[in-house]
Amino acid sequence: MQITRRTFATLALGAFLAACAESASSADRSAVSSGPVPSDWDAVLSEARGQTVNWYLWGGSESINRFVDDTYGPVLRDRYGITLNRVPIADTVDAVNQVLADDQANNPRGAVDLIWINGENFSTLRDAGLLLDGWARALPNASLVDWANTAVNRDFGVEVGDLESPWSSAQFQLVYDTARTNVDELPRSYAQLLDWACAHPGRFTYIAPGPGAFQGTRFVKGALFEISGDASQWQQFDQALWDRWAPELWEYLHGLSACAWRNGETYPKDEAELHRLFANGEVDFTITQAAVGASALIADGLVPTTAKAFVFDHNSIGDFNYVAIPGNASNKAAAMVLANLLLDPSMQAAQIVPANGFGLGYAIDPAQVTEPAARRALDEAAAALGSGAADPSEMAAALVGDAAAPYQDLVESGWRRELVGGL
Amino acid sequence: MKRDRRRTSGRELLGLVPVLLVVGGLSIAALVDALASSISAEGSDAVGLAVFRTVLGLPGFWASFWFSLYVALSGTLLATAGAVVLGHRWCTRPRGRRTAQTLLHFNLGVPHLVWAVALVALLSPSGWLSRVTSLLGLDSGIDGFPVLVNDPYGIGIVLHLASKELPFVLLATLPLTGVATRRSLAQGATLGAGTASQIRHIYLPAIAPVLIPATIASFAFGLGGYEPGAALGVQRPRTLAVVALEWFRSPDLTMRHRAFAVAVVLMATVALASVVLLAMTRSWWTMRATPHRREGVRA
Amino acid sequence: MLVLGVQAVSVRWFFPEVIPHSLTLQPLRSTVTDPNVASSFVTGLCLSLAVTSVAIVLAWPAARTLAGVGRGLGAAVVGVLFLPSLLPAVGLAMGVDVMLIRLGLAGTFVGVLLAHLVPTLPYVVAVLTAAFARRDQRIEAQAATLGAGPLQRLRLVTVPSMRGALMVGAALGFVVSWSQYTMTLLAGSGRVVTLTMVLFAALSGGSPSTVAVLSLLVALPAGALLAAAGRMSGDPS
Repeated sequence: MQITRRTFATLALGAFLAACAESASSADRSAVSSGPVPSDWDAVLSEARGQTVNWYLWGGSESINRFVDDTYGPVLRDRYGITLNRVPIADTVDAVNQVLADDQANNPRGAVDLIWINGENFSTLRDAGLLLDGWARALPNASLVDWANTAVNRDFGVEVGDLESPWSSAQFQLVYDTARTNVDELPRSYAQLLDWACAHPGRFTYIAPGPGAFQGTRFVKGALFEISGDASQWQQFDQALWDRWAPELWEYLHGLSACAWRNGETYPKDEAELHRLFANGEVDFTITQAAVGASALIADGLVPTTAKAFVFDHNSIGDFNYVAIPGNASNKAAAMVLANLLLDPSMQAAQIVPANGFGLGYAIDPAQVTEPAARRALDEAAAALGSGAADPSEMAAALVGDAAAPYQDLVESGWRRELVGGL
Repeated sequence: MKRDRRRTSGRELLGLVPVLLVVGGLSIAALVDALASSISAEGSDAVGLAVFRTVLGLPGFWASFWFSLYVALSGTLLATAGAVVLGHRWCTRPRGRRTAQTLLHFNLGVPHLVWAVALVALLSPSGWLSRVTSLLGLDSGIDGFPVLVNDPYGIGIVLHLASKELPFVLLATLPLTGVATRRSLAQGATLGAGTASQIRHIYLPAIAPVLIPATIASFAFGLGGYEPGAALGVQRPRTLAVVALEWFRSPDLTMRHRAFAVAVVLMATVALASVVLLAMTRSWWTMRATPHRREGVRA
Repeated sequence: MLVLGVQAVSVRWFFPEVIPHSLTLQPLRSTVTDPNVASSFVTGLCLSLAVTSVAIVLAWPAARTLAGVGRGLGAAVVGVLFLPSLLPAVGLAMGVDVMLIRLGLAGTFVGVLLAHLVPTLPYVVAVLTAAFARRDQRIEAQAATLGAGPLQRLRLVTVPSMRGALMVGAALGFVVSWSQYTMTLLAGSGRVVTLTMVLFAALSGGSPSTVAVLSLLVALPAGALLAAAGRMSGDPS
């Protein structure tokens, strides 16, 4: 008895240590790779077979995590022999820092193979020359992307070039509760929003702009666009333009904060906090970026089932999300296969269906898809957007591109200085 | 008495080396790094106080500093006072002590982050407590409930620190509340000393060797802990720990110097507070009749 | 904590409901089956167990020596050991991270292990030192007289007599390591992902139910372990 118990304990300990060794080494496991060339796609596929692609992406939404694991993971494994290792990070800055650290350590086998990236983080890595160039537009499915569209070929005003491949799209929307607020009473511009907020003191707030809270930054930029009367002028960075309009922006926001939740003394620090305030009836609006509007939030249990998205008549900022491959990535071929898979029409259709929980919009131009099965998949997905979605034609009519990247920091640090007067 | 007083051999001293190397090495290196990084100017090799001047001159720095200091001090004060009162009570009236002690141990094990999440779920204006009071008709719903978390007065953070550090301080001082302390307290009571006098003249001096470091440690956490300020704080003013971590993680590397400058300010504040606390409590040390051995170093 | 417990088995539990309109195991099931939760749980468990083991091994000889040295040296060593507890957590984590980057250990399992030892070791040393100081050394001397070798003495006399303290020290070490957030975040560079990190990520966008389930997964093992250790160490009288 004593002996069998001891044997069992030894075996269990051994198995556990093996699991530990696995988890300890997985961070370091990688194979050296020469740079594959996507124009020779078969060579890329054969090099990718057997690789593990370490995809760093924001891990804050469990429905997105699940979508990534369940949708791309099995296809990569079964069709291409690639293992997907999704690395969840609290903020994309962490992936950027990892790439910078690998570079500083002269590590040719970097930990990051693919990053879900956007805007400021993209321009940081681009300016440091740490991104793989000359692959995105050569991917087989890149032909479905409308590269001529400035919303696609510029990421926060920065030339995308051949450094990034699009994954999905997002557009700024507000969410209200149809059980609480009548659709006719909704504000349809920033000016009306100010009136609404002061008619309903304490019932409106937005997310404090800052790192990890870009929806708040986007809300403020939308106000800037409306106040200045022209969204397109912000595509190029111009300090004088900023200096001209910033005072009026702060004046507007001060007016808003006087009527806002907690008299504008504080603001929710992230999406989750604003959703919680909205769901519990502390405020009447929340913010989303999803193509399916509130539907994904409803499916997640974050907001009441009666929630619905809407947009202002103008200046609803939209953009594309991209993936990029660091120059020091260990598994470049597998990263390219994954980036190409993301653009596959069946995958694009899957990502807008609310039940799948991803809820961001297309990266491809659906009009370019002619193959019948793929067409059908896209049409079916479009028909299933759910009750929480905003009117697609209103969204399209209000869509504008985001401002150039340098404005991001001006808005965030300026907001902190002017609106909260602190660090 | 059980401990023999023979001289410690060189080989035995060697046993201290790995521990000192890991803990001392890394933390002293961290200190030096913080200092070095904060006095090197942004983007150049010149040494100077430029970074400090920049950081201390930023609008809102002092608001954040005083706010951080205030929440750390209040939280620590409440925790320590609670730990002393409760610990003294346990010495004189041990009823219910075992259950309470288990609960406190449980609380000590709960990570700060989770404790903060639980406080929000309980105390926010739409939290559980507010739902109960509005069901009972005690207030007018969300608007009537006091703002206890994410509030400008830092009540949420202070509550968090007090409730999380009290078990720490109390359980750390327990090993010094053994038979000797209890006997002294009983003698004091026989001689007519009231509760306050017992605590002041007998209990505090008895637990001082652990109480003081434990209090400093909870103050250090209150000042430099990230989780409470991040989860329970407000946008104005943010605690310095939250600001420092955000700057440290910024891809703009010059911000790291600023982050370290804030870290140095925090360290200096803890050091200063320690000196003040030690000076204030000198009388307890001299009052100690029987010096305790190192039984209670588990602070 | 109870509120979190209820939150974990409900969805869309909003103001003003005092009790949820319905209970469901769905969030619990979906969170527990999430491969990332599982892998981060294993990583965190392995990390904290490794930290605890290393801490015990390093702390043992140190505590033994500390229990026997004179007051001056003892105080100096204790002072160094508790330096990290007296430093602001954020500053310490930042400094240790820079140090690990310099050593090439940032973002590795070993690097995070080292980082965790900094706040963990002092507690383990303190518990063991107290026990060593209280221990009756005559039994060991008797065993030596009876011809027991050093290893035999360690296995048959010293370790059994220190059993309680070893358990308490291990529990404390495990919990301190398990709860680290800032340290793991910086030293792990997002590559060593423990359950606490997953919880923090979920806080910025996850549903309240998921956050509640994760919170309980993080808190219950640690809380229960310390409560048990507390019971075991018992009443000091």
